[in-house]
Amino acid sequence: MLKMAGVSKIYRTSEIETCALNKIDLHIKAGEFITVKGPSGSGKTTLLNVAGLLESFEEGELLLDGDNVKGLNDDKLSALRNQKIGFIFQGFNLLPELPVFDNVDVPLRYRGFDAKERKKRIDNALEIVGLTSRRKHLPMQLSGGQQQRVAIARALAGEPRFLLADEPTGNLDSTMAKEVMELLKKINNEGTTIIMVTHDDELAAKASRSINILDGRIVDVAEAGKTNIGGHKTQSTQEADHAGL
Amino acid sequence: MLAYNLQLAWISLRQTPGLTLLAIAAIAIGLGVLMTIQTQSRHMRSLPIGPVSENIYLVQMDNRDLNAPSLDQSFEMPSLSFRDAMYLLNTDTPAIDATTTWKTRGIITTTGQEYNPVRGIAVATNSGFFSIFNVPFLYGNGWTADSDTQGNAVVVISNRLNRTLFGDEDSVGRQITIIDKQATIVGVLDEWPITSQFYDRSFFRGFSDDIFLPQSFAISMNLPRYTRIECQAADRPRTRAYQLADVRHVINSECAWVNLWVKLETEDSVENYKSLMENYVSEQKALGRFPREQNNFLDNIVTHQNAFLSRDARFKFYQRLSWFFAGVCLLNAILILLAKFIRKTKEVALRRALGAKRNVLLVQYLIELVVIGAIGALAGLALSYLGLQGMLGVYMYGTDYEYPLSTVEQLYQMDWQLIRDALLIGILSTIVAGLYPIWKVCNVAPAPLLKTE
Repeated sequence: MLKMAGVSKIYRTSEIETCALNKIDLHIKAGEFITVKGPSGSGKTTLLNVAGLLESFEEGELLLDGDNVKGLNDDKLSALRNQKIGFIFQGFNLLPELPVFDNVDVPLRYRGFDAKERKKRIDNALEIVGLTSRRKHLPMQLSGGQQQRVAIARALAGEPRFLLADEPTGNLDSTMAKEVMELLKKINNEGTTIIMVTHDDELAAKASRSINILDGRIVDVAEAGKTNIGGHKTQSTQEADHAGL
Repeated sequence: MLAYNLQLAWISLRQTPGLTLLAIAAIAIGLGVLMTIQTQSRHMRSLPIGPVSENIYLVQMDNRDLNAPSLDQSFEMPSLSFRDAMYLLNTDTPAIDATTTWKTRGIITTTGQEYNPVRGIAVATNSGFFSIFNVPFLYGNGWTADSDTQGNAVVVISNRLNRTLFGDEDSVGRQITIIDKQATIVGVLDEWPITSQFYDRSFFRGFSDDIFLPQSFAISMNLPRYTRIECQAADRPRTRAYQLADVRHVINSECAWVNLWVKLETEDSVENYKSLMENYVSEQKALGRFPREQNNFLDNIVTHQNAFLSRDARFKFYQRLSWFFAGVCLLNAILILLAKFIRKTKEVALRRALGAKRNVLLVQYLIELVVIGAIGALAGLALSYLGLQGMLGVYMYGTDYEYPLSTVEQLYQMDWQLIRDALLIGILSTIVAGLYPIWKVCNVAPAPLLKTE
C-alpha cells in the first residue's frame, strides 16, 4: 500500500545540511496500525510528512498503492492527499471560525462531492466519533478530546486509505488520550491503515508494528507478539504482549 | 464553490475586522479622492456643447507685428480684427453658418419695477449664434437676421436673469434698459448645459452669460469691449481706449478682439475654408496688411479646450495629486492586506494538507479580495459623493450663490460611468494590492506550520 525505498530527506540552509531521513526502507500493508517512535529531532514527523506527501524528498522512491509519487506536481499531490490520506495533528488544527460540521466538510469540498454526498459522509464520520450532537458547535466550545475527535472525523470523512497521526494525544490528558486511542484502534479494526507518531511507549505498544527512528534511520522494528528485527523484544512489544495485542 | 468561497470570505472579513476595515478604508479614501477629482476632470474634459463641439471651428489668422514671437498653437493666437471677422462672416463663398462673439457689459434696469440695477455681462453676437450652438430657449427665440443688419434693440436673456428681473414669467416682449437704451426681450434661454464658457475662449466652467444682443446694436450703442484686445505695436498704447472709447476707432484698427466661429461638418468644407482664409490673407498682404508669413488656424472647440486644460496648471496638479494619493492608499492597502493574509498561513497550510490545490486557494482569496474591493469601492463612491457635494457647496459659497444650483450641480454629479469605473478600479486595485500577499501565503510550505500550535 505504502512503500518507501531508500528515501532520504535533507534540509539545507546556506550553512548546514541536516539529513532528516537517511535511506528509509519501509513497507506498510493495508490494515496495519504502525507507530513511529524516537527522540525529538529523530525524523519521526519528517517521515510522516513525506509519507503524507506534504514534503518532497531527495532520494529514493515512494510508492502509494503501487504508483510512484516522486516528481508529481503540486496539484497531483494535493489530489492524492485529498483522496487517500487523512491527517490527525497534535494541535488538532481545526478552523476556529467554522462549526464542527463545516470543519469536517473542508476536505470533502475539495473532493468535489455534491451537498447530499457530503452531508452523508459528515454525518457518518461524526457518528463514528460520537459528536453528532455537536455539529453546530465551534471548536472553542469543545474540550480538547472532542476537538481531536472532530479532527479524526474530518480525516475519516473522505474514507482515506490511511490515516497519519502526529502525536494525536500529545495535547490531551490521560483520560482523553485513552478515548482517542480507543477510537483510533476501533477505526483501524474496521480496516483503515494508521501510521501514528508518538513518544508514548504505552500507546506504541497497542500498534501492530512499532518503528523506532534515530537520526533519520529506522533502528528498530517490532511487531506485536514478535521479536524485533534486531533479535530483541522491545519494551513496547513486551508491553503490547501484556496488553494482549 | 463560489457560494462557499463567498461564505468563507465573509467569515474571514469578520474574523479580522480591524484589518479588514483598515484595508477597506485605505481603498475607499484613495478611491474617493481619485473619483472626486476625476469626476470634475471628466466634466471639464467633456465636449462643451456635446458632439457639435467637434464641428465648430474658431477662425484665426496671424495679423501681428513682424517681430512678434512665432506661435504654433491656435490657443496662443489672438482672435480677429473686426474688419477681417466681418469679411469672412459675410462672405457667401462657401455658404456656411458662422457667428462672431465678443463680450461687453452694462447696467441693466427694468422700467416700472422696484429692482436694484443689475450689472450684466453681455455677449455681442449675431442671429446665427443660437442655431450654431444649439442654444435651447425657454420662451421666444433668437432675433432675426434683419435685426443684425438693422441694429435692432433686441436681446435674449438667460433664465437666471429672467428669474431675477421677472420671476419665472414669460418676459418676451418686455423691455430692459442697458445703460440708457431700452431693448426688447425676444427670447429667454432655457438651462443651457454647457460644460465651459467656450464661445469667448475663456473656458470658464459651466455657465452661459446673462444677455445676448446683436453686435450691430452693441456697436451702435458704443457698449464697452469687455474683452481682450490685442494690437500691433503701434496701436498698443491705445488698447485701453479701444475698450472704452468710441467703438469706431477699434473697428477700423488692426487690433484683434472678435471671435469668429464657423460650423464645418465635413473635411472638405474644412479644407475649403482654409483655402478661403489663405486667399483672403494673400489678398490682404497685397494690400499691405498681414506683415507676417501666413499662419492661419482653423481648430475646433475641442482642440481649444484640450489646449486650455493642458495649460491649466491647477487642473494638472489636482489630477496628479489624486493619482498620487490613490497610489499611496493602494500601497497602504498592500501592507494591510499582507498583514491580514500572513495570518492565514496556518489555515492555508491546513487546507493544502487536506487536499486544496494552490490555485483553488488563490481563487478563494481572490474572491475575498473582490469582496473587500467592492466594499471599498462602494465606500469610496460614498466618499466621492460627499466630496463632490462639499466642493459644490464651497463653489456655491465662493460665488456667493450667484449661479443657480441646477446649473452648477451638473459639474459635480456622479454618473453611471463613474460608478462603473469606481467599482472596476476598486476591485482591480484591491486585487493588485492583494495579489502579492495571497501569492506569498499560498506558496508557504505547509508541513512546518501544521506541527506547531
